[in-house]
Amino acid sequence: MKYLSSGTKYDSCNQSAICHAFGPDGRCIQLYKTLLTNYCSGECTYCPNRCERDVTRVSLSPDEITKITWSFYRKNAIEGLFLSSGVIGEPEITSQKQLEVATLLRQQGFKGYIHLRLMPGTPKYILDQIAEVANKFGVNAETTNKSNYSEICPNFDYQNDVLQRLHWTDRIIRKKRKEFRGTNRLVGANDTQFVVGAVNEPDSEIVNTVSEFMKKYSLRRPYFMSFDPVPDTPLSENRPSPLWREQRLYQVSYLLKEYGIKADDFDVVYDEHGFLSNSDPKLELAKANRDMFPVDINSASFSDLIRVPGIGPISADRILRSRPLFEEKELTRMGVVVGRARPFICINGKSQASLSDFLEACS
Amino acid sequence: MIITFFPFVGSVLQASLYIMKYPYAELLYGSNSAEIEMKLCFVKKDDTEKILHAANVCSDQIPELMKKLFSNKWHKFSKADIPPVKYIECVLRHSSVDLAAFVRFLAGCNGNIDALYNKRSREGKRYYTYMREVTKSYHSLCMFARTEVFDNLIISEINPPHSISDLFCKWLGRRNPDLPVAVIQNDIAYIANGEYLGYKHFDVLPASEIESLRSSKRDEKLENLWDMYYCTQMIDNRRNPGLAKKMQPAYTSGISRMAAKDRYRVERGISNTTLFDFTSI
Ligand code: SF4
Repeated sequence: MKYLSSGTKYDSCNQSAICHAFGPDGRCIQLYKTLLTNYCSGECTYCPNRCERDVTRVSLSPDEITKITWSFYRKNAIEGLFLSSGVIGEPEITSQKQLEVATLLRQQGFKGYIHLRLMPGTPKYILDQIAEVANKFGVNAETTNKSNYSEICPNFDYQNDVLQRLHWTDRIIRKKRKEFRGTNRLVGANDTQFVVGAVNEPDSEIVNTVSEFMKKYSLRRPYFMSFDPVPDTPLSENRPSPLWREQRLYQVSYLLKEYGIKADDFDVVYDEHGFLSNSDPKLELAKANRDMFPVDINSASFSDLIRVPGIGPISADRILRSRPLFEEKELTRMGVVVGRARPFICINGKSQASLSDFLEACS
Repeated sequence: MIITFFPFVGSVLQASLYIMKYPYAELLYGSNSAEIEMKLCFVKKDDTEKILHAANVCSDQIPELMKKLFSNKWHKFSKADIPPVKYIECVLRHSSVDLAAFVRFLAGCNGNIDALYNKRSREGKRYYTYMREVTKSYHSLCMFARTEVFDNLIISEINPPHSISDLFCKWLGRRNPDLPVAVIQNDIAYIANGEYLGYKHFDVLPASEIESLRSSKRDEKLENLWDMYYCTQMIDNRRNPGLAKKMQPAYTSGISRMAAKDRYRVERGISNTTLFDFTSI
């Protein structure tokens, strides 16, 4: 158990509402995360389980996994199971084994959440069967294009094994959502994970890929995991990716999804190599679009309000419902971070600080 | 005139409608009719004083009362906030709520449902905070309370600051529909899926009755297994005590022993030294 759960510690999978614990790194623990096995025929250059690496290889049987999942679930320590795996010979065999675990749990009456991270190349008929028992399933994209992918995952093909699977998963999810509408069965959205910094793709490329996946495959939430070199792998000498990069990418993906900001809008905030800086992308975006500000709290539209740093969709909604507003104190009560928003807003034509004052103070 | 009511949503809404009609009436509440009768004996000036009782109503009549109190737009609240009926229920469960003042506040909203959410008045802000505190407390229980698992029963012992043990019990019952669940707070036990034990589906009993139902314990090694699992999820060079403490605040340690252990590791990190290292020196 120890080896196989450690093998998933870099996987992000949190989706359901309740977290039962938080790791010392602040990440939420809400599922029992495990690999079925860390035997793998793959040679992904960043992965601790790649076949050429000398590590202790172990597996858990479906019975053992279901038993642990049940115990933690009854204890109210988890919401369900996250199951990934090394490739046992062929992706098809591996996915079949993952399906076996999920089916066994459901047959035993398990009502919790099941998330399967599948192998690139999982056949469609297995995806269909998995959709019957799992709440969420998907394949990791890892990077932004075919050539990058073949560099880090030489055994798989980006177009066929990843993009095609993302497309199928999207279609299956849409079908299942219709089927389960009105029931309390949870059908999770399409998801995928990127390893940030294993190859040299700039942030602009990652953001454009995420935006494209959102449109094409209804991706709701991408996960990012900073590259961390693993000893005895081809990338062991590479530098780790800074952790803030992952955080800034999460912020951008949130702005894409929840704020309706377009991927192109971020072009003004990248450096000359296409990388984000270590500061809040929304603030950078506002600074780069000075002509849009200040917005008047009592007349601005929802979409203008949410562009203001310090105002999110919830507080923008409260502002719209509570107009007219007369002072900043009222904004604070509505959840606005007034200190951040001040240079970008005015109340009934009056602003307390000009944007240029603020920018000067920042510089 | 005296308006009496119970601390339940339907009764509170009814009392708010009465107080709109008779703003100078006195408000008096009790958790049951006997308590109200007893309080009336002290409060009533004479036998001619008019008493208006705001009876509780069943849940399908609540929308009608909400409509009367807040007009047709009562369900048009922000998507980000919890629905108004839930809001009212949460406030009623808060340990510091002054129920009579809350009834007057609802009546004083003058049909504007936004007054519950926009925090523009001091009172509105207070009740909004109450609502948030109760929901937070309930969520914390769902997150950090742990259970003891027996062959025939799941038990959780809790002591939350607000009256939410019944809610938590129902939630645990829905999670484990195939087993009876008992949530014990002091000397009261709330039971969900009680039909397996010959009780009602949801029931309230003296805690002593549950004690006798505990069979042999079955999950002793489980906590160690959890500790091992928890440690596998640690990424050493990503320790972030600030964020971790924010996510799992200190008060959560009081909710269960396992949460306290997790919280300790959040604060101190996970020790790499094991007994094996010691013996192999
Ligand atoms: S297929 Fe998965 S487990 Fe195998 S080497 Fe690649 S990333 Fe690692």
